[in-house]
Amino acid sequence: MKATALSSCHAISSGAPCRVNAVVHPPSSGAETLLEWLRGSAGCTDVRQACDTGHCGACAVLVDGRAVKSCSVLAGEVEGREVLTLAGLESASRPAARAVLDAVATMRPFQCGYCQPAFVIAAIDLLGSEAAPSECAVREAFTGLLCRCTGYQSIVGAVLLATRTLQASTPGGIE
Amino acid sequence: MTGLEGSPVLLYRPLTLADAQARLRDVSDAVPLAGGQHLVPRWRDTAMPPAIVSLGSIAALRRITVDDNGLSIGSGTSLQDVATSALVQHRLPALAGLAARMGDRLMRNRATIGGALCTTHEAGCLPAALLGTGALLHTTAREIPASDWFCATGGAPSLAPGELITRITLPQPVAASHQCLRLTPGRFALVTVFASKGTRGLNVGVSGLQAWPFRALAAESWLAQGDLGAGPALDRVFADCSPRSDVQASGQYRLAQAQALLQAAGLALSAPTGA
Repeated sequence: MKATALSSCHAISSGAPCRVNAVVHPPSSGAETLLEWLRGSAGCTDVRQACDTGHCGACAVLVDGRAVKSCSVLAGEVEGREVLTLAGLESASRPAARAVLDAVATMRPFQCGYCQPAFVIAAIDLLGSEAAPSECAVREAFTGLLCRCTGYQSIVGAVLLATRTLQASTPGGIE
Repeated sequence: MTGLEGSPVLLYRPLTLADAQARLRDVSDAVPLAGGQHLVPRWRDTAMPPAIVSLGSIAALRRITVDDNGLSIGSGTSLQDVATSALVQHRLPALAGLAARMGDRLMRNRATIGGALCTTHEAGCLPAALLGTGALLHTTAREIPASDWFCATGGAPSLAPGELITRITLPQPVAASHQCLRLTPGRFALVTVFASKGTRGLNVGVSGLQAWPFRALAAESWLAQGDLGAGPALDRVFADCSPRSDVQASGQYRLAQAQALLQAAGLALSAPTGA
């Protein structure tokens, strides 16, 4: 871990606040990574810190609805944006989020759970853009996310369950 | 902070291209930042530059349009937007499919096509696609043919301080085919062949075979003669190349794969609907 690698920076920009899980935060005063800022200033310790090199995807969060690796984004770049972490999904009004969380609660596809936030975030990103992804599409969407316990099969199964739930509840599509 | 502890780092987020250029010209050692998927992790291992000009807020760099010169893609367009753009899927589906396989989805959500051009000179599918379509890179100062950008000297032409890639244009082909051999999802393909057939003839771009991507003129001639079977003619197509050998594959293996991918591209181009 190189927690201070990008500290001691100063951002010159609009000063627009950032909404994290519906809570308004003042913009980052430095050019630290989004991961550092979320876990530090914003107090979102549900965002996992792992490889810190952009390879494992454990630090995934949604920025304006799109999943990104927060270790590879400067915090100053999310000014004025909406950031969602796993902890903010319960109160989010996204049908895809509800479906994925319900499927995870039902199937319990994770073992140690360290990678769980990232897979949930990535699944919501996928279901937000594809109404009925195939198993192949789900696996492709998980490229770049590492899980050392499950072998992925159970996680993919949970997302496919969420997909079926969404299709049943919204015949015309998702979001 | 590695190497720069205590030194302030300035992060600018200009809204216009002109402002970004001015910052890059006027602020000493300022570095442009696009999606950051290459630079931010690298900075963690080395050091932050003293000033960063983020291009992510410049809407003018994220446009995808069509004009008389073909498909125009703004340099700040994310790879995911290239992959899912209805315009790209309609005009150049081979490029949309290629973009959808670059890196992983989380990376594609941030990475831009301009950033990929600045960080991918040796391998990957994008260089082959730009060479295989005869693409043109537009900067704030000039136009650079893809064949000059991906040059055999191992690096792209240097951009002047304040000079930024603004967009790329890809001539509209009649048909195009992207063929690659990818050993690991999310990583660069081992070998890529991108071929297109347009009103000006055939273009073939190859990456992964040599240490640098190249336009394969001999492959274009081979495709033009129409016989796509294996044989001495196909064996001669890459005879002047210097196939790279490394821990992933031998040069001989890469050469055989490049030939097979070229055949597949030729078959796709000759199919009624192209590829």
